[in-house]
Order: sequence, then structure tokens, then C-alpha cells
Amino acid sequence: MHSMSTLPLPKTLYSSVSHHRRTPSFLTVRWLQLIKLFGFFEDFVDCCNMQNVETVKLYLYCLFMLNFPFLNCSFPEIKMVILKEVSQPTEGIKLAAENVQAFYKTDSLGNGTLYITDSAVTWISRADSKGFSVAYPAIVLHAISTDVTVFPSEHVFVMVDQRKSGLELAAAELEDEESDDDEEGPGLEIRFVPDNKDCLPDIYHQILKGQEENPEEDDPMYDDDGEDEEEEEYGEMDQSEDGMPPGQWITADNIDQFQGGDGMQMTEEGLATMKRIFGNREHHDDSME
Amino acid sequence: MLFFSFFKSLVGKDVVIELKNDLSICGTLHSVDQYLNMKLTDITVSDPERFPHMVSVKNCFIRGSVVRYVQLPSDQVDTQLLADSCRKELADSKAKQ
Repeated sequence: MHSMSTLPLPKTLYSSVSHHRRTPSFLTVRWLQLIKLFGFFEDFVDCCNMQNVETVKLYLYCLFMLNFPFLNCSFPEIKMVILKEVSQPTEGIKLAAENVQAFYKTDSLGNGTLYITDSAVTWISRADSKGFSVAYPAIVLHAISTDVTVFPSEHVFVMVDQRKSGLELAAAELEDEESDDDEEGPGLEIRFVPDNKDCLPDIYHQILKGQEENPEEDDPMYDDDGEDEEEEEYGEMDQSEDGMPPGQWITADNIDQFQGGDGMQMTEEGLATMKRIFGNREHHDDSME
Repeated sequence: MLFFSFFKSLVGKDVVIELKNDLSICGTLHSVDQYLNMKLTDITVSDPERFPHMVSVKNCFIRGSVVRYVQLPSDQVDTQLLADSCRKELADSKAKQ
């Protein structure tokens, strides 16, 4: 059996919750499991010594039926993200990249295929066709990471809001239920490492496109076709006619045409507002009461 | 529209973006779109001990809806002008109703 010093506590999780009340219970659960396990093993060894074949069989059967809980207990972070049956996406695939390793933090979940679709980012393991799927609203941020001193290979880093994503953590079952009402954790970190690192920019850009195409649904501020008064207020942004098309970014390169005037795809009213705010600073004093 | 316009004026400036999951990222605002999705360059994380994985990231895309606060460079913000614009916009939207 593993001695206590080798009992792996996931570092990030541990440090991020150290000020919470759940830390003691988190540890206690582990201790209880270990103690139970030791008891179990003692009995097991006893009956082995007594050469009581039937009892040994029974114990082995119990272990089998319990799905070798000590494996979970000893190495909980190996598969922290529980992989599930995920059907292979068929529609709206922007990008399908084979031979992409997925990592939860630094633990490999295996080699598989990464699908970036119109609605979600899905990864499916090649070994057992299980995987996970994250919808765009759950993706907090994503980036390309190239610093190999921190992680051995270049990768696309994705931070996921666990509560929105529906992803389950294996560690969650070790904790008390009361930890559910906890405030948000730092987010799940998932890394995608393609065999061919030339796909990295492509993966990054396709996720970015997906993000742009999937704004928040329940937030009136982002509501494109709400029927309430919000529509009037933001009506001037109507994308199809004279507003900003989705995917239009304001960067240092093109900001001139957006602040200046005629290149601007805004209504008169919008332009006036903009000008009032940013264009005519000299009139600013007049407008103050 | 006001916020979008305002953030557009901050393109190229250094900002600190605080996310709803308590991650704070400091970086140069590269670009912003109508959903206030933001791209940052040259980022650093305020709390690298809690977020060690972010140290290796230099540029990133942040979903607008996950942003809690954006800390602005104070010398770039004309608070009087902004307050005035807010009042004006509020008055406009009330007049429309």
C-alpha cells in the first residue's frame, strides 16, 4: 500500500481551496477511505493465511464489484475529467484534427480526435471512443502556449468554467456535498497537444470563430433579437444591415476608420454618439453643466 | 454601445482584466469586438501561484461574458466625459420609451 507521503493531493486544487472550510472534510474523506481500505486488506490477508479459499474468492469478488476503489483513492488525479460516451459530431464541423492529445492540467487523457464545431469543442479518445464536449459559453479563455519550459510541448490552452461545462471531475466524488455550493474555482485547464504543431494556429482561430458566433444567450446585453426595449437601444447594431458584422474586431490597425467617420458602418445616430464621446473633445466642456 | 465605444478607445493600452473565476490577467488590449470579447497580448498573471498554467501563455482570447472587471489605465480615462456620456445615453433611452 502507499504510504501517506505518497498520497497525491492535487496541488492546485489543494492550494486554491486551502482557505475554505472544505479542506478538512476533503482530507477526512480520504483518510476514512484509506482506513477502511487497510481494514479490508487486513481481513483479506488473514483469510489468505488461513487458506480459506471460499472467503478469498469472496473478497476478490468484492474488490472486483467495487471497481477497485483503492485505485480511485490512490490516484484520483490521473483521470480527473471523467470521460463519457460522446457521439462524433457530424454537423457544422469547422475543424477535425486527428492525433491530438488532451491533457487535464498535466495528466494525459490519451490520444484522440479534436472536433471544433459550430456549437462546441469536442475531443474523443481514439482508444475507447469516450471523450468530452465543451460548449463555447463555458470556455473562459483560450490561447496558444509556446513556452516549453512550463509544459513540454506547444499546445492550445483552454480554460473551462466547470459549472457551465457539465464536465465531471473524479475528485468531486471524494468531497462532501456541501462543497457544491462553493464559489467558482479557478476553472478547469485543458490542453490540446496536436502531433503536428502546425495546426496550433488553426485550432486557436477556429475556437475563436466559434466564440464569436456563440454569444451569451440569456444576457439581454448580447441579445440580438430580443423583442423588448433592448432591441431599440441596440437596434443600431443590426448586423445584417448597417451595424458591425460579427467577427469584426477593432484593433490598433483599423481603429482610425472606426473613430474617424466615413468608413464607419454605423447609423447617423451612432456616429453622432461616437463623435460626441470621442471625436470632439473640445466641445466636451460645453456639454457639461 | 457606450461600453463598446469606450473600450475601442483603449485598444493598444495596458489593462488588467479580472475574470469571474478570480483570475486577473494583465496585458495589452489588442482588440475588442461587439460582445466585448477581448484579445490580449503580452499577458502576465497577477497571481501566478494560483494559476501556474497561465505563466506560459503570452496572448489569449477572453470571452466577453466571463469578464468581471476591467481595470483601466487612469490617465486614459476621462471620467467626466464618461459620466456625461452615460447620463446622455440613459436620457436618450428613456426618451425613446
